[in-house]
Amino acid sequence: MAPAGLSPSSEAGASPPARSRTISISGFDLQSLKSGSEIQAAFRVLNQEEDRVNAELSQLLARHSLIESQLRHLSTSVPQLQGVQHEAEKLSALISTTAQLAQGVSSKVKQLDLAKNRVSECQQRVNDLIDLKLCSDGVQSALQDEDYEQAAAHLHRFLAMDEALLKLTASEMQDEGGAMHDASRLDQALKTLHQAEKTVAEVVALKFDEAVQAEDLASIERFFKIFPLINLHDMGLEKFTVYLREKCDRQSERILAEFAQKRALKSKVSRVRDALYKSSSTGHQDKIEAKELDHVLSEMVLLQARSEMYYKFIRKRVTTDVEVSSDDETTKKTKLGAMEKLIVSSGLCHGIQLLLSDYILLEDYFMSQNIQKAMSSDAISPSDGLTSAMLDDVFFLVKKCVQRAVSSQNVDGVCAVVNNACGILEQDLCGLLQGQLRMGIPSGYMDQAYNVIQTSLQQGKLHANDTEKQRLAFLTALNNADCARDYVSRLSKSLNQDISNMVYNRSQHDKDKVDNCLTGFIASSDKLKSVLDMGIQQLRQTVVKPRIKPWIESFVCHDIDENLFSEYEANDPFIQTFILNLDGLLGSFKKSLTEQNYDELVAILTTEVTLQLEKVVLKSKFSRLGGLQFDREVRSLVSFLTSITTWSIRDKFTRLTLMGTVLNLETVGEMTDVWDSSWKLTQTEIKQVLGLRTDFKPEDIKRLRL
Amino acid sequence: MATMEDYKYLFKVVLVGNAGVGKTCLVRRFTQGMFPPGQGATIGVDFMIKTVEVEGEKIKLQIWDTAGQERFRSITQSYYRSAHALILVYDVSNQPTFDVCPEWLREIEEYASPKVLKVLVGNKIDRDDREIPTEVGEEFSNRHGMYFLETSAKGSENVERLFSDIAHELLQQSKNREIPSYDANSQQILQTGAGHTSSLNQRCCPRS
Repeated sequence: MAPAGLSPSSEAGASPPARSRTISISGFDLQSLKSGSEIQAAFRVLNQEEDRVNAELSQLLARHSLIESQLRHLSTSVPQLQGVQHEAEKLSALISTTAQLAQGVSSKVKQLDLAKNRVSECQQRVNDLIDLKLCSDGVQSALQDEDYEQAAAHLHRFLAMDEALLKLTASEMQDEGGAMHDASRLDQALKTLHQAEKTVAEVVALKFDEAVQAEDLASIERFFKIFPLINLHDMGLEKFTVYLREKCDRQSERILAEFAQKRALKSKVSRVRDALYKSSSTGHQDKIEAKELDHVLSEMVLLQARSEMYYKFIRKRVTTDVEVSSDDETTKKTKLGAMEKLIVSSGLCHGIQLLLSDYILLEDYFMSQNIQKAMSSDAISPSDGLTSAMLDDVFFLVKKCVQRAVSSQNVDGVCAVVNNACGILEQDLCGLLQGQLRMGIPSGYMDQAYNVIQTSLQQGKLHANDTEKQRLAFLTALNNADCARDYVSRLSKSLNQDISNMVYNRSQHDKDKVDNCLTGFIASSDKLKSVLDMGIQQLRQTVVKPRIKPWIESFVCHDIDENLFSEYEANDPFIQTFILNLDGLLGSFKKSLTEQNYDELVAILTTEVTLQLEKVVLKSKFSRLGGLQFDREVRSLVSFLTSITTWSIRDKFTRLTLMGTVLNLETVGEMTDVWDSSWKLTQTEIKQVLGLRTDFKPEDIKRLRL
Repeated sequence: MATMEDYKYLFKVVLVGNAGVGKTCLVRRFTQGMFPPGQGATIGVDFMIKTVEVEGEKIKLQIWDTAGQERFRSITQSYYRSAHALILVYDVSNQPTFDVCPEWLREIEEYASPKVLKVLVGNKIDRDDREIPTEVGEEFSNRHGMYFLETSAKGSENVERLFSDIAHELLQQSKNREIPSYDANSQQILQTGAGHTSSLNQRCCPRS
């Protein structure tokens, strides 16, 4: 292509001067061509340019002939194209004619189709008319033959007809003047059929009821199938479900009656009632044995579980059907409510409620009698460990009974049995333990001899005397109460699990109901705790308090000089013996108490020690060294008690420790330095303690302000 | 857990009395503020919770509405023992429902705690065919150491008062430690007679 800057005029004009001018434009400023080599270079460039232009020109010339031949060719095609246009116009005309023709044909076809439809409608009407006649004749003869299926089939055919159309036909026939006779016959047939429809409906309903009465299953099915044929779907379903429900009620009533009879339920219930209400007055003749009831109780539970399963089935089916229906929410609710009402008012439900009532009574009796037995046959044998076997029996029975109730799947049943179980635990078990604890623990100085006796008993060498028996009975009851609380908590946990599985698919309301009944176990546990507390108080009053008193009273006067102080250091006058005594007392109980009860004992002992020690301190006199001595004594007491228990007893010693601090002061004035508002000693008490120091002046103490 | 619940005291209230005297309606009126017409017979035991405030204390009333029909007797009897209050309801327009009250009392005495708060309620005072005059009911309740009130679940007369009076009375008893009641906040239960408190077993029955 042309180099940049080459103007078009340079191509048009080929004259040298013009060229030279152009050359200057294209970068070759002739004036600037100073040297020969520059001119040479410019020349070379120009030569190349010329060659290129020449080549271009010859190329154009070479194409000249081709273009010309093409032009020639075009000029020959022109006449041909004129021909094509002509043909195209002809074709277009042809197509429009064809279209018109096709439209004509199609409209005719449409007309034909219409005619055909009318013909077939007409045929249908004719058929209907013929069938109407057949049906009306057929239904009558079928009814006469009591062939209700046939009659229903005829009616079904009739009901599929468009009755309005038939009537229209009749009136048209009349309008046309002719066949007056035919028209009235048609009316007659319609009348007959309507009559027959009514008759069949009545008869079928009647026959169905008769079949139900006779429990003729084949006939029930036979007539049930007829209802939909005569467009009485709902009536048929209604009748059939009522039949099923009644059958279910009847059968269940029969089953329950048979069960009650075979298991002599009535007599069992009345014997149990007698035993419960008249046991005190009429003695024990004919008293029913609890174990007689075990089997029948399981069966009663099974019957309940079966009925629950049936309700569950019905509920599930109906709920699914109602949910997929197109009803609005309120209608659905009403329908489900109606279902619940049906279930609740059913004979089965009623029968099961009666059974449940008996079950709860018998289960309560079974549970309480067996527990009574377990409790009364409980012999306290020292080799059995800390608690008695009775306790395991009691909780095994409670668990067994509640679990049995759970397997009934009946929420009210479970609630009632749980309530009764809690009642038995609170009244019978707590009553027993309370009674045993009320007997008290012998206050004799048994602890020294105790271990010896214990060993001898285990080896069977010695008969426990009454005191020892009483002591053991008391401690076992105390342990039983502690252990029972643990059992209650475990029982409640495990039942919680069982019950939550049972109510998994139930309403929130049912779940709340059972949950609230289960809180009864908390009350049982609390009742046990109060029994336990009562026992611990007994222990405090009869064992701890009287034993500690003389030991504490040997607290020596602490108004000591240096000599006495060093002598005391070598030869302790009080605390060592005191600790030894406490250790001996606690040691005698350690093996016969549960861990928790032992801790409780240490706690009441600690409380008692601190209370009595405080009293005795306030009666004593202290020198500066005596204060130091006391501080040491409190420390060793705290470290001893800390070493034997799992919890911190330090807070029980707060006041004594503070008293030690006060007694250990150099001067009264120091008091303001050590005191802070968290002190558990009042100002009066502090002054009282300061007053115990023989070397503090009363006026200094009086002046003290904190 | 109980500590998370918004109440300080929990009392169990059990309603008893013949079928159809309006126990369920009383409970519904109180707990839901409505009077459901055409209420069907209660099956077994129904259960409702309502928290009321008395003297600034939140009190949770656990209301057990028992079925009046005979065949549910062994279910309903199981609720007597742990009840703090028992409401014996009769219908003022139905003499027989009042006449059986001594029988109900016998049952209460047999199964309930001797310390239970007993309340006699004559319901349906909205009706004009009254058969039992107020004085007769009152006299009966006095004779048996019962609290007495006449109500109308339909007209909601005295319904609120019935339950709040019960809550009030139980709170007083509980403060005087005459009856055990759950104290949810401090996890303590006030003990019968014992006069000291003991901590609620936390391992047992978490009230979730």
